Amino acid sequence: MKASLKNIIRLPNVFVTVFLVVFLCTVLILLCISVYRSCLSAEETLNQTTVVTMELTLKERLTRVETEDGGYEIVDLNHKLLDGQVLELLRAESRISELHYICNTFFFPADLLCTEAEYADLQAAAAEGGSFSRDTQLGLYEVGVAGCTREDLLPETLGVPKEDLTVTYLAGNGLEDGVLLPKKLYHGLGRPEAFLIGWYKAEGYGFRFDAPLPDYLLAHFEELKGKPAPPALSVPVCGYYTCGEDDQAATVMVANEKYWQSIYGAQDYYTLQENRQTFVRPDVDAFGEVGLAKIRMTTAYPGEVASIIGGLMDAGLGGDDYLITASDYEYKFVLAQMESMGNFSLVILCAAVLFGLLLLAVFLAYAVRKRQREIYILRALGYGEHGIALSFAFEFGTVILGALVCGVAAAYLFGNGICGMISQRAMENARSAVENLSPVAQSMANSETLRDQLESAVDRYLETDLSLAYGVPFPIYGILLGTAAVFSIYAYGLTRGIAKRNMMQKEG
Amino acid sequence: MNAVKYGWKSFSRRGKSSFLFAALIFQVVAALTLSVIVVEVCGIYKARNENPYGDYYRLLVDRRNPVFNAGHQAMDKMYAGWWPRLQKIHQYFLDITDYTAEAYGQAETSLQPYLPSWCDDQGYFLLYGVTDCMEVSAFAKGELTLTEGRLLTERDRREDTRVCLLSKDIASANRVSIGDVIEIEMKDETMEEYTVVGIYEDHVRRSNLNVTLSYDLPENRIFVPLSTFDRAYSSGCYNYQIKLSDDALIGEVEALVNKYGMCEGYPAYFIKVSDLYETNNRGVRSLEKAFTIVRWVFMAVATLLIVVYVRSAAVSRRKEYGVLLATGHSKGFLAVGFFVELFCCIAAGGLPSVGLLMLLGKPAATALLTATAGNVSAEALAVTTSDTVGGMLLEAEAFDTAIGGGFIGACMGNALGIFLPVAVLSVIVSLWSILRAKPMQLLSRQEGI
Repeated sequence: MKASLKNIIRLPNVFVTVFLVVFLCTVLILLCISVYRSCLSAEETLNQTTVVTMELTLKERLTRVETEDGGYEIVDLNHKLLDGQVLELLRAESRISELHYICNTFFFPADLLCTEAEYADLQAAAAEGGSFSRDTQLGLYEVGVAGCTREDLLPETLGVPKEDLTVTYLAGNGLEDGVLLPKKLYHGLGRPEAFLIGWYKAEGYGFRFDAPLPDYLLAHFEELKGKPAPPALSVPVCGYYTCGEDDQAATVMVANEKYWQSIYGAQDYYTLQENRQTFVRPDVDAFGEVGLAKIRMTTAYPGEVASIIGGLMDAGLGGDDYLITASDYEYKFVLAQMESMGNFSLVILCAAVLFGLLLLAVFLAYAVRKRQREIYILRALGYGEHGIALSFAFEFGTVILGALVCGVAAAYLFGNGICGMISQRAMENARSAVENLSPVAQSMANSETLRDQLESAVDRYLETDLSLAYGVPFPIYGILLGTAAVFSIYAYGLTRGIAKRNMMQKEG
Repeated sequence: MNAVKYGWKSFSRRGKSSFLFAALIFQVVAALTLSVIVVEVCGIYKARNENPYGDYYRLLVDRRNPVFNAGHQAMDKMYAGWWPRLQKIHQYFLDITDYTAEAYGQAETSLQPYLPSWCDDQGYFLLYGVTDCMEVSAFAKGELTLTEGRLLTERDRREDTRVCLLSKDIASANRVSIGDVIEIEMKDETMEEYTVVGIYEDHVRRSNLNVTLSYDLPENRIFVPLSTFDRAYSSGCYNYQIKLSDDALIGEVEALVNKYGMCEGYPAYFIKVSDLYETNNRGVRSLEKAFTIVRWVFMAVATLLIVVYVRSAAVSRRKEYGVLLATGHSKGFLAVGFFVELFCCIAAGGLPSVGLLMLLGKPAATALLTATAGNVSAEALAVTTSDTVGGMLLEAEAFDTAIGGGFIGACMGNALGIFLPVAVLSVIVSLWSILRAKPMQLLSRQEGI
């Protein structure tokens, strides 16, 4: 053993090369494994913590058609509707966790609205056959009803910017408790807690009836009282909103899905003269007739967004009519950074393993051959093949093991620092994406929007816990030790092969 | 012949060292071919973005809605606008020396259009005006291919040639072939005669679900020179590009387009086509450079390995060579024998490598190309939509076509074309110093020198 150790010191040109190759490869391998594992772990965290929102809307397929007067008009050729069947398709996809939607707005005559007090007065007037006078002046011809299933969809439902919308709920109420009225309408109706979609629609606009009720209306009132369907729908008011200067939004009330459907049924019953006097449409389906403007869904599987969209397209939501958009930009940006770093470390790892094995094999072969004379002298001195081979294997094994230990120690000591530097560099690179926009992006007028989007993605990346740290599983150390053992055996084999030969035939 | 036998015997006698050298060759050939594949894949990717109009300016219209769709790029961002309005740009600016575009409009012809039962109309064609067919992405990507005749070129537009390209389905249904004349209705309701110069085929299986108008069907598309659109009805335009005698004027043109709302009031910009494609290629260029360097590194490694191996093999055999030379064998005999031995080693290492790459090369190259196409810059990264998912499927088909055929074979040929001359040269140089020595010199030299 002593002689072997002396040999190691005596022959630096042989052993230093082997030591350096093993040392450098060990450090590289351990660092790359650490970086790769950190990236995998960060990816896993990202996948677990990211929820992607998807939106389903209808595509516009606009075309220009010639009109009779020789002009043109733009028409939408897409006649599809986001209806109950579409919702069923979405509910059948198990990876979609939440479904929220904005219902299209429908309009009905404003004179179908009245308060409960007015309705009572009207009933009394009708019973007496006298006149009914209403002083309420809403100044509206039509009232729209939009619907949504969640409060945060209100701005989009009304089509106004979020900052312009102010919602005031009546005490203890939320959107699920009734409908939100525009402030003007709310005050016009005398700040009611509920209103009715009434049966008393009459000719003309406004709400002033100074004349006696017409006979047909009195008769119809009697007729309706005998019908199973309620002649008036009472709708609770949960609050009111204001939305800046937007006149269009000021005529639209917002209901949750339940009231949106029942109001549609009620107005359908009363809107047409023929309807109220001749027939009632049973089971009026607002989903099937008015449809939804947008469906928002979430998935907890951000990595499978493309597959989910592909599945929905196969199920019938074809790309020609429907557009599904996922808000996964930030996820993809962060993932791209991690994947790029992970893949880079994997390539370096493969190169270190490949070149390490190759170089070590070549250097060992070269080193053993270089010591042929020594082997023959030892043989001449009476040492056995096995003994010489063992001593060579011990020498090389010791050097490889020493390099391995030094490599592990260096990686352990400096690993976290190097990983921190890599992490820092990666973050700087990500930040530079915002600063180094391409000429195309820079020349766009709203490049600020793109810049904001990138900045928010970079922030998301910085928030993601991608703290690269040194960490190698124990089996890797085992594999490294095993590789050292294999190379010692290889050195043993090479030495024994040379020692076996007859000295006189050594050159063959 | 004896030298060949000697070489073969020498190869089989030195099993271990021959195996080691063969293993090295295996690795070098595999790595070299893989690096060539990567570089070639980058080339395919770049070719997708190539455009013959690099010095033109392309009109981009930003249709992103800043309120609700912040950051979402509209799918028709490249749609330029109403063709009749854009055409007026030429009239305002005398310094526009050339322009190209893809203009389209509904048309009637003397032919019977493809009219399936689900279509709501009476059957119309879509007249598609181009300057160069290869500028149309469907042709460039290989989705549409020419089956007979020729494509439309820039010359057709310049000379206002009355020629057209029909789909294979329409040509066969109407029994029209190359050289036949068809009539196309212009906007003043006159019929113009056009000669069929090419027939194309659509290779992509498209969904006809919900297609209600016959001119939306790819079968009903007739390609004509863009010059036709001075006379034909047209509704819109994609990829509008202009060339200026003085590039500094582009700002004025841009201001004019915006001032008169020629793109429906959306902000419009002119971007140099070469800049546009350079942006797309930015990501792949670094990969290409890296693997070009890798290729040369592997060449250097291969040269080094061969030189070290040949030299050490020759040095360890100098007594054998000395004896052979002393017993009357020529230096040529030794050289041929050694070459045969090395050839066997290279074959033993190179052939399995070639076989392995033939098996795994295509899937590896496809995966690489897909990853390259997916590895877009942060600003080009877009949210996933049903349109991009559909586009990904089409792109996958196009990649499959690009990497099919003899792509892997060509890459291998390229790699071996570099490797083999280097290998032969390294062997000659290494052997030269040994073989020029005299027999007695070889026999009396000390070991290890």
